[in-house]
Amino acid sequence: MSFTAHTAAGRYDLMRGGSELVDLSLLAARTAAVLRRYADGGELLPEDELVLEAMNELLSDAAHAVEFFGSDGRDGDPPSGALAARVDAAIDAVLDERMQPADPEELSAKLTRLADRLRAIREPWSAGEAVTLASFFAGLSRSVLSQTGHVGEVTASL
Amino acid sequence: MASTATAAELSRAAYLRADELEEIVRNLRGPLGASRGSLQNALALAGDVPGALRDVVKNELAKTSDPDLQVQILLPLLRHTNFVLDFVEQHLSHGTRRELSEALADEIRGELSALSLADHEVVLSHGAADNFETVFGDLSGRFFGPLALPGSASPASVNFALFKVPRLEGAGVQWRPVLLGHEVAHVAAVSKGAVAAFDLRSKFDLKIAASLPNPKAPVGLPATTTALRLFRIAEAWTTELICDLHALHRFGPAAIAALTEYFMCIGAMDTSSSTHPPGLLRIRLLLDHLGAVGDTRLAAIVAPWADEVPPNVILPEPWAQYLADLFTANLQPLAATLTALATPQYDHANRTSRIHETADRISEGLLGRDVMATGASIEILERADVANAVWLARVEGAPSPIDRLAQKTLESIDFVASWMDAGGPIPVELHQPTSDVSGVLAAEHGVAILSEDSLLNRMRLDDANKGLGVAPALHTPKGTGLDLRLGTRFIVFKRTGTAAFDPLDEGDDPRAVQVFVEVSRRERFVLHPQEVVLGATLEYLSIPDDLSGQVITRSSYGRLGLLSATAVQIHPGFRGCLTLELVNLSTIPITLTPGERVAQLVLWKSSTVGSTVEKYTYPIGPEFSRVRSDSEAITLRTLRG
Repeated sequence: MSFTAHTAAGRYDLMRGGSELVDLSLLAARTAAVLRRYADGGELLPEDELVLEAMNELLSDAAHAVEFFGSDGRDGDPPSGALAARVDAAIDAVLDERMQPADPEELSAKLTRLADRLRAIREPWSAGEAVTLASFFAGLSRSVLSQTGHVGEVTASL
Repeated sequence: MASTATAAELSRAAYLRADELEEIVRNLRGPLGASRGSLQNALALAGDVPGALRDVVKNELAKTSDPDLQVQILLPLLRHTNFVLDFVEQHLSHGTRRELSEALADEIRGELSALSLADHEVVLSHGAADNFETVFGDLSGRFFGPLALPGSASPASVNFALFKVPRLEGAGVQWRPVLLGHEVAHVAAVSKGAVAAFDLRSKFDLKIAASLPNPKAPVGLPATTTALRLFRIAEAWTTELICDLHALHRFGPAAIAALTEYFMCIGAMDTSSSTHPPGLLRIRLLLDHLGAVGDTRLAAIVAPWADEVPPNVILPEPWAQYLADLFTANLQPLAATLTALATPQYDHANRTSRIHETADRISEGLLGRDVMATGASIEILERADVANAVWLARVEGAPSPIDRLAQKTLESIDFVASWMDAGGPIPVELHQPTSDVSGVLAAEHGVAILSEDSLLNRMRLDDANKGLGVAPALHTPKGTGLDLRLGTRFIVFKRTGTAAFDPLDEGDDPRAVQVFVEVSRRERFVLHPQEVVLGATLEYLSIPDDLSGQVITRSSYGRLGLLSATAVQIHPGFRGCLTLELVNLSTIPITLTPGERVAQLVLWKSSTVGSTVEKYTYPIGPEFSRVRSDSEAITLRTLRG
């Protein structure tokens, strides 16, 4: 699975370099870990549910953003700029190359499906579904984190 | 697939960095006095990060046995740790260096207070030469958010406003509108609802936006994403433009001069970015909002910069042009958002005479008149008056060090305001100027040493040559002297490996053995037994051209062992803060607080002297010795071979 991402660190990041993306990467990694443990028959701990709730909320925000812009502003409200980098990265994550050019309805539906599945984690899972989803969030974590790093030292000749 | 060994190594990497961060923060905190509250508090938070990092690594690894997932979690934690380290380096590592005036930090606190954001702790440091960097918000949440396991308690939120400023524009009064008007407004623009009040959604055409590829959405992205990204850019531009308008709101014409000069110097006039509109658009909107400046002299502040901006801004990128047209058409609603910030507007049209007077005074090497008595009431000069005056003096080619004099004027204003807030009295008669030069001089007939009445008359005399300028003037003269207060700036000796200091040696710089420090008016300075420091008077003095005098220690302090040791002679025409060479001759340390009346000025009649080349010109604090530049130093060097 590949991701296309164009987000950049926002003006309001307290740290330079996109700390919101680090937060998202960590949240996605924790989501993947919870899903994998659950798929392996583990119990859901209270903190696991909080992780899933946070990811669910983010995906729902992203779905609403797509709905708003996809309907030329007719449906919903513009998304808050406060979490812009995270929401944009979540949209990019779902917007893989198979969805280019993306149908906003399809994109929004996919985000909503992901959010709903996390909300209904105790519902029955089809074979391999949780593992696939865990892989998706692990990929999201990697993709987002890769935007915050550096390629190496800075060199220049005078 | 990651191996168990890789996960183990990455956990060691995290522990190693936690140890390093702990050590770095410990070393930074150690030398700070308790009075450096905001920096201390920020470092205290950073100092708790390593412990939280160790805990979260331990807990996460215990919960997940899959090395692949362990690595997945460890990597963002390591990245976060790097960000914290970077943040400490960037914003919290300047330690006890006092290159930026503490008075400037106080001004920022004042502006934040005007924005009802007094809860923010202020940390100020030098940054890149070509940009300001302002970060604000809950530092605790930013440090500990990623480290806190869901559901676990994090440290309480603490709001900070941290400013990294260019060495020149950050410290200079000329650019106060950039720092205090624009940058400080960023802290409030979103949280106080100014950006929301603009209601960008109702003005932004999503259909058009969807067809405009932009820096955040290159050609080929879906229309939905293209529109969303341009909306994000429009939000960022809205914030910038509101902050620009706030600078104009608070500082009037000086804001346009400061912002344009700065944009031109850093190359920001023509570039449209995803975070900032081009300077051309920003200044065009400010000029349109300001309108014509009626006063001819004040208009000259704006004129050089207005020449640079065309009446209609044409931008090469279609997306940028769309946004430029949107904001141009909605300038009034944009300006109306300032009501959400609720700061008082600076009415430059009604302050013209004060701006003119202040500009004229600093051009002559005097301070702006910080206090003016009207009847029984006291009026304090406005900070924005000084910012406009310094631009006026600059555009009119003032020969004096205008920025230094403007800085000291602001400090004087600040001290007077704090003095009054603390219940300190200000005798009204000190601030009722008179222009009766001949009357004042006639009353001194037959007088040698000026007594309190004569000194008071000279202090009130509004004459550049015969008046005695004292700022701040908080008390009347008594007997034959005027008490002088301790300022905030010092030069202290440091321990060095220098074997000896040779005043005639061109290679021996006093900075090798001495260091400049500044304290805020809330801090104390401890003078140890037998220690000599250079201090300065809080008051900026302008000595009449027919008086000379001496500074002596007040007997109350002399009895404690504090002496003003040398260089007591004051020449006619001196303008500046007097250097006090203070020595503690007692056997115990003496604690000194800025504002204490430690010295006394005695003046007597003297023949008028012509102007001479001064080694120390308009000082606002103690200055390093320039003995090496004595005119006969070369001769003496030649003599001794």
